[in-house]
Amino acid sequence: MRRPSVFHRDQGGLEIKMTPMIDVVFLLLVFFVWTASFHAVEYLLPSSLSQQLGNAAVIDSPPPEVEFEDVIVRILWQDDQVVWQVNGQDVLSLDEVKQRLQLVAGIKTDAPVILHPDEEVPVGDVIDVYDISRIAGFDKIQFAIAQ
Amino acid sequence: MPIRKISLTVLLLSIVLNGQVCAGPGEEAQLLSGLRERGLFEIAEYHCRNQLGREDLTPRERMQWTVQMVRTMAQEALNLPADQRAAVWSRAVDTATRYVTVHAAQAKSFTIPVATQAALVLAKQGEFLRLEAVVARDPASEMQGARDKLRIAAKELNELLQEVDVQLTMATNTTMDEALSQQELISIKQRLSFYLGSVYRNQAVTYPSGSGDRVAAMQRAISALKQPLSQLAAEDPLVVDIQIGLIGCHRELGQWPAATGLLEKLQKNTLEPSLQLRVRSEQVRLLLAQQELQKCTLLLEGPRSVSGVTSPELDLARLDTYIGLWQQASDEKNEERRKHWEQLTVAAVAAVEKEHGEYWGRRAELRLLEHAGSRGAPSNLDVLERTADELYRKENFIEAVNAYDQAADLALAGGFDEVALKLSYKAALVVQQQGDLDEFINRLVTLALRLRKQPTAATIHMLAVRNVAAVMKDDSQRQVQFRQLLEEHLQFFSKGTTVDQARVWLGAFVQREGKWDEALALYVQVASTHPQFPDVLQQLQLCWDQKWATYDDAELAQQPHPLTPVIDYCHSLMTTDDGQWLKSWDPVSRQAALVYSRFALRLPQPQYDEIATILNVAALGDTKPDGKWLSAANTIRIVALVAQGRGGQASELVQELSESSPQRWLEMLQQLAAIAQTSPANVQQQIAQLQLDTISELQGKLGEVNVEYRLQWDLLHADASIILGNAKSGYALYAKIASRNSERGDIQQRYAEALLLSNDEMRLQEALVQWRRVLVGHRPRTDQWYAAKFALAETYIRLGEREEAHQRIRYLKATSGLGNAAWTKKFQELLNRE
Amino acid sequence: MTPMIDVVFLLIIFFLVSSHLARQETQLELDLPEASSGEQVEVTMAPRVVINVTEFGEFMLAGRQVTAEQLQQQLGNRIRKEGRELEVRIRSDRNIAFAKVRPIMLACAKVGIWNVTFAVYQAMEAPR
Repeated sequence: MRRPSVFHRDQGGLEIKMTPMIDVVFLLLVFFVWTASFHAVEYLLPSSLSQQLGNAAVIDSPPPEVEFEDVIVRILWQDDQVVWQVNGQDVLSLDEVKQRLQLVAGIKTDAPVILHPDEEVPVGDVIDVYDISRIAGFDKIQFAIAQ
Repeated sequence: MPIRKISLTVLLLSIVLNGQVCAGPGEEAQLLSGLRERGLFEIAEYHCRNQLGREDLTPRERMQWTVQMVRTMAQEALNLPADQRAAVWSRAVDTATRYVTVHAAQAKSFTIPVATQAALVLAKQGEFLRLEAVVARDPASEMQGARDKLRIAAKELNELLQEVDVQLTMATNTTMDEALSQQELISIKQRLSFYLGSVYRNQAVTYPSGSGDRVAAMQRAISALKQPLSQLAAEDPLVVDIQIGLIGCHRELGQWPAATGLLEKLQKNTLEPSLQLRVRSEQVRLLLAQQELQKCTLLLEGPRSVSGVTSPELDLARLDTYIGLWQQASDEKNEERRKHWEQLTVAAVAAVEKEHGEYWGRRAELRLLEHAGSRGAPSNLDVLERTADELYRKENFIEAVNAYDQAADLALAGGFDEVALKLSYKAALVVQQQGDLDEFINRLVTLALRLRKQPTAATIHMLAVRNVAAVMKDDSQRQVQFRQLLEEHLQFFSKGTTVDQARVWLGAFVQREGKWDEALALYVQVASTHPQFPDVLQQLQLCWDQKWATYDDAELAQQPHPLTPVIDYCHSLMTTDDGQWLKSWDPVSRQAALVYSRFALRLPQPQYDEIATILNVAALGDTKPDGKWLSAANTIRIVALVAQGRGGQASELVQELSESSPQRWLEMLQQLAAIAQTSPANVQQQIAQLQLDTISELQGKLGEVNVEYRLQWDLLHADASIILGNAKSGYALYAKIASRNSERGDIQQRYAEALLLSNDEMRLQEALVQWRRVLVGHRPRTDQWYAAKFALAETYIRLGEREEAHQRIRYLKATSGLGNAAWTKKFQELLNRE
Repeated sequence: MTPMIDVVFLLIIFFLVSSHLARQETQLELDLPEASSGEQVEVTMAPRVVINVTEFGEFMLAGRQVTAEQLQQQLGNRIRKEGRELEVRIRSDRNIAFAKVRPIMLACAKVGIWNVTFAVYQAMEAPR
């Protein structure tokens, strides 16, 4: 091909030099791929800690909520295994915990649920139970952390 | 037979002689044996230990001192009571073993004497076991244990013999500090043969008399004993020992000529005093074996001691003669002679112990026990018992218990139950003193049940029960045991105060479990003379109250009325045998009258007149009734009058009562309230009116009373007002009390219950709040907590908020469950209610 | 033209890398627990404290390891500065014992922070 002479410059025909742009785009792509984190997307589980620690004196005029006692879910660590207890009754599988919680939630969704895990229970299992409680529909799920 | 003792003596003396060959340095040996003879074992041991701790000890000296120490320990063990013996024996064996293991490498030949001592200790243990087996509970196993020990000893001695042969090939003729000389080794070998023979002889005696085993073992013993004879010089003291041993063997086998021949040969020699005495004792034994008692007596009339030396052997032979004569006399049924010989025997036993120490004393005792234990005549039992008492006094507790047991078994076999009871009881007491509570209780129970026909058996069983009661406070297993024992007691014994006591305790147990019927069945059987009878009546009333609460209306309308049993029972306590009222009333029957009246009031048609009459009669009598009873009785009378419509008389009675103390007023008002609870409605109203009247009248006269009194007074006032329908003032009073006593759970609960009595909406709302307070105050899943939940649900329904109530019940079901069966039923009912 | 594009290109690279590194500091690689009821992360201007709890139980605050007392101190400071909307996000490894996470919650309760969230991955299904 004949080398385009400099005289052709003022004629029409915008000649874009493609190669460097393709290089740029290509390198941008590479860098975006490189810096993209292959982390899974993180979600949040909100939890509200109790506003007050300990029991306030309720003798003077107990509100109607006292009639609904707390649903206490104990997560125990026995023989290197997680064992659950709902309101003092031993439960053998997470499914059953879910059933019971759903049963209670069907009656009253703002029942206070208290999760009380043992020290050695892994956080993953605790979050599992917490998750189940949220799925069951409870509004007020608290962790028993007061000593 | 006395022969066994000979073998042991031979063994002992041989230990002594052994010491003389490889004795400790010269005079020291004498000193030590002297200390041992006097029983000063600790000093002897201390001395040996000191010597062994010396720096400049030659190996030979070390061996000699070790030998001495082991011997001292062995002999100490012989003189201790059974429980301490084993420890010392094991100490002796340990010392010997330690020496052998430490010095096995360097001074091989020196280990032989020490090992011999260890084997001899084993032989001695076997011997002792054999002797004690006679009076043990399980002779066969003890004898087997003795045999085992002797077998091990024989084996060790055989091994040592072989070792000596090995050493002989290497030994020289001179006495050295590092090894035994040839001469010494030969002498040891001869000794070993002798010991072996003695052990075989002991083994033989463990077999039953006349059996093939015994004969075979005895033959073995004879050949072992004879073996060194050919090599020994005539003057060697070992020869005498061997010959004495041989005499014993022949005697065992019944070979009188051989034995007599040897004996005569011995007597021809001149012997030193102790040996002379031993020869004489052999003679006596031989004659005894041939049943020549007269000749024995003649022989024994000779001097007891020669040159100031006494022999335990001779004294034991003397004892055997006495026993033989005792036997003869009881066979001939010559009571006087028998007693004479018995006394002599017992005296001889005591003398032996006093003179020769505990070991010989024990052997003498064993002889006595063996003989006396073979015949169950009462006199023999007496001897056995006395021996056992002696043992106890000497603090040989294990032997004492064994002796008591032996005597008891004998008495049982002979049919002497009383004596058996006494002896078993003594054995149990000794065990208790030793601190073994379980064994003590077991023994008491076994003996009480085995001899339950005896009059004191019930008391003994109860003693066991009491002991368990003393330790059962926090121990649930003991409580189970206690209960079992009580049931056993009731099963086997039928009369007496102990049985009543058992009934009372068992009744309390059963009552705690809530089994009212069983408890009542037990309580009604208790005799009215029992000291705790008022308590029994009280418990009876409680049980009946509980039962009353379980009846529903249908059952109460039945004929005969369910309360008939209790009314009949109380009747029986208040009347004499021919159906008349008692003339003199004691507190027990008065109490019965009260119980009767209380229950009689609950019948559908109470006989008020009869009740009043009974109470009147009961108030009379020789002794004046106490104030409390009077006020209770008067209260019932008032209720009876009120129920009959005679209000005026009732008020008069009340006036009378106001003469007494404020305490009585409160009691009366409380009792009125209690009775009102179980009365029909109109009676309730009247009682409430009466209460109010009384309160308003006595209010001013109260004066200074404590806070609790005032509180109870006000509560009663409020209750009465509410029943009568003065709701406003009643509830106002209640509210005031409740707010002032916010920390008192019981008052809050009472207020909450009272609020439920009204139908006013405002009050029901207040009831909600109040029940919530009660709910928070109780622990979850307790009975009162469930009651509060139930009351709340009920209140919601009464307020018309069915949905709320249902939601709460369903919530309760999903979380904590509806409680036990009774509560579940109630909640279900609420759910189904329209 | 080309050099300008090169410059722009270099600037882009520079910002990308620096933001990547910055993110690395505050978002440790952790094996978060799984849950199915997690909410999406909202991009808000609310102040936030992210506490990482590693598999060894160490607390990492802003890239530095802290002890429980220091954590409480720092949280106290932050709440005083930021006010009640302070959010504390706990990112913890799923296998550590709850006892390691509890001090954080205790500290939050003590200083008055009520908005505590857990970071989780989305579970494929609800927990069985």
